[in-house]
Amino acid sequence: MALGTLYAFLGVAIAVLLSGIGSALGVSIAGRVAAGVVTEDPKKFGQTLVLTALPGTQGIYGFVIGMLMVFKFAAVPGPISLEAGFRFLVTGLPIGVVGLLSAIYQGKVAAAGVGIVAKRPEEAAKGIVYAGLVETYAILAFIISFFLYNTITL
Amino acid sequence: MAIVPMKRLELYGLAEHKSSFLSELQRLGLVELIEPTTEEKRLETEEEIAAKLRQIEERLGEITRVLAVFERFAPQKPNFVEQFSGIKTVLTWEEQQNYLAKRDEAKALADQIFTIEQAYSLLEQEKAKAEREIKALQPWAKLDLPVEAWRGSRRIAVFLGSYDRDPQLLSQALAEEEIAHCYQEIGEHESRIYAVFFCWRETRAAEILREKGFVPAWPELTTGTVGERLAALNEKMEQLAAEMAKHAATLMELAAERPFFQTLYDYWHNQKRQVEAQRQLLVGKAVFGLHGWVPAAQAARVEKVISALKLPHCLRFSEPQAGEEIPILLKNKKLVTPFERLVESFSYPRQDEVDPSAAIAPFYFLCYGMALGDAGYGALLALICAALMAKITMGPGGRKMAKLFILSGLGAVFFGLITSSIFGYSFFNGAFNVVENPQLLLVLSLGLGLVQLYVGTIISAWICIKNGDVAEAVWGKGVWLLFLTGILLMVGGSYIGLGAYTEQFKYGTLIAALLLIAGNARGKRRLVEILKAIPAGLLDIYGSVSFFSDVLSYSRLMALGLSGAVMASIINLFVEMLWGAPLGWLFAVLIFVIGHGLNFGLNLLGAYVHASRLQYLEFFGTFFTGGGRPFAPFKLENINIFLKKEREV
Repeated sequence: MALGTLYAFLGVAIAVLLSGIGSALGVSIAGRVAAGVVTEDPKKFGQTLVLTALPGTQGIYGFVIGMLMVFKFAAVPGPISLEAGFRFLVTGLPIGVVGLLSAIYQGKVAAAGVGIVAKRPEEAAKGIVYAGLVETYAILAFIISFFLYNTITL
Repeated sequence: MAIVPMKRLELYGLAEHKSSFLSELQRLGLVELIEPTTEEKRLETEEEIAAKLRQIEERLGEITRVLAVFERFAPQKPNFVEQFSGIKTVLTWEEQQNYLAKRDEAKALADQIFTIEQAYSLLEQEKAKAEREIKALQPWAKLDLPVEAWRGSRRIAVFLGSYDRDPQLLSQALAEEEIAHCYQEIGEHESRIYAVFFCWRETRAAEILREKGFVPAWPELTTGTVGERLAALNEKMEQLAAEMAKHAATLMELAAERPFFQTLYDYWHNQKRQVEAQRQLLVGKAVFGLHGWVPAAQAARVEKVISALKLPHCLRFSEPQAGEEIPILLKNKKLVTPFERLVESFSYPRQDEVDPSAAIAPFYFLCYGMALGDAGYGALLALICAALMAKITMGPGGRKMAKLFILSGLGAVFFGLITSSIFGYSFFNGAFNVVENPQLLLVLSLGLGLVQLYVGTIISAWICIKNGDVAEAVWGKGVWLLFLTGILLMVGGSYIGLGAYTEQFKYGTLIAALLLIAGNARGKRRLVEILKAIPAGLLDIYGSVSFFSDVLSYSRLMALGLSGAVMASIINLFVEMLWGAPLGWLFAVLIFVIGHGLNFGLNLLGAYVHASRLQYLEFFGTFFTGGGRPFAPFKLENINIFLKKEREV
């Protein structure tokens, strides 16, 4: 495998791996609390589901960036130049790292939001907004990753 | 933009009629009662109220118990939608009246239900007892020695018990002492082996067995064999189960009366609220007084209904006085009403603020549209909400929410048609393609943000003018906008073909900045104060950083729209790849449905969260703080039932 190709593949791996791990952790943090609430009141499944799903978006962003990169180098046969490989690698970093951390922290906020659902279900929308605030930074990272991706030409 | 003007209501009447007045006001549901400021709670009224409340609480407690029994024997299963909306029993007004007419039967019916439930509980206890006995006897099931034989005979002793190893070892120990014996394994339970030993009496058999760790134990039995007892118990269990099933069936049948008890619950709940409302009356020896808020437009209706009672009274309306906290009720044009929901879930405006519903309506529509960004998804969302509204009975809040999502969905249809994206497919040439030209999408997002924040600043200027502070509107907001525009033209002028004027823009911005500082110093007389105002003016200029960071925050719309669009096209790619293969169409359809379903769900949620956030943080930051108290009229409240058509007043 040419070194450039290796770096390009690593870039995809970083984007998908890290953000995916983050989302899995975030969703599990919120999901555990949600399961506790549903034990007491099964009727709250729907509302807690929304909060639990929120930290899942980082994984999607990482997947989207990873997929776009794969499409880009799958369209061109042959090994990838070292320069392009590095670009792919760095492109994966913002969404990978920010996705990983923001999903975990978003999961914690979502878990607290599940507490709102438990005690004051009529205010659940506010819990959703709080969890949404954390996502801002994953979105910014996604935008930067995307524009970095747009600079790559093969 | 409308906060409904309120009027203060004062009603005086004879103390003996207070329940009639209160019940009428409750039915009308237009008046919010004001707690008396002077604490004139007379002791006897408080006692009277407490006694009435106790009676009602008792009834409510009984009904709650009945409903709990119904829930246990005939539980209501909420479907997916009802998990959000809660289960309500839908009744027509006539049905409700019929139920209320026979409310005297409730007591007897409740007693009947409690009797059956008690009988059921007793049977349940008996069954549990029998189960315990069966469990205890289980290890001995194979012992066919009747109780009478356990004492042994004159020459042979019988030892029953358990051992944690193979009883063969015990047998060997006995054989070593040359004691004639035989034994039989009965069964195994929790890794102990149960066995019976037959030995000659007058030997050391008992001692040896004990020393080796054989624990004497025997089944609790009074007569016959274990097998006989087990059979009897099993038969009893069957009988009990049959009887319990019979009772359960009766209770399930009785659960058909659930709407009756639910209606009664709501009835007594409202009675309780009415009695509690008496605490908000000023009661004298002969007369009572009541203060409240009523929407000004409804005052005439309240007057009409109260005078229709034909009871002696005095009713007065007055304008609110300065310094009074007026409850807030929002009323807007039909198209804007759903967006009130967003304002309500943030905070109600204070009485001196404007209702931002109308201002956020078009922007929310566009923000949501850009964030969801697909005509297919938008149409699906609108259709789902329309179907829900048609199928389920919703309260006013739920209807508002559903309408909000219908409008938001239409926003996505609008934007999806512009960019030609229907479930990720492009059937015609749109204005531009989101995936191919993300820069344009980013510019559009930021442009929308810029426009919305300008509008917000203009609204805040308008509020200043409305409050009579024209100078602040001009010097504070007007110059501020000029300054921001200057910066924008200076930095971005070259992109829109105004590059030649960059120098002029530079000076214009500088002048605006100086004006901003000068504006801060206006009204200040002494030189020291004027000098003091300069740092504050500089801080204002620094505020432009936060303004532009707010604008940048709108870039999230681009990210959401883009990630949704890319996901959709990836799903479609998988679908195309599978289509050609044998049986591929099946998997293709599955992937299409599941993939787009998930993408739809996540994008819908993301668009809602982020479009709301942009209103709450970025837009409201320019002119709205909120903190008003929502208008909470004294009215009939139904917890369990939902009336199809509210009674005409």
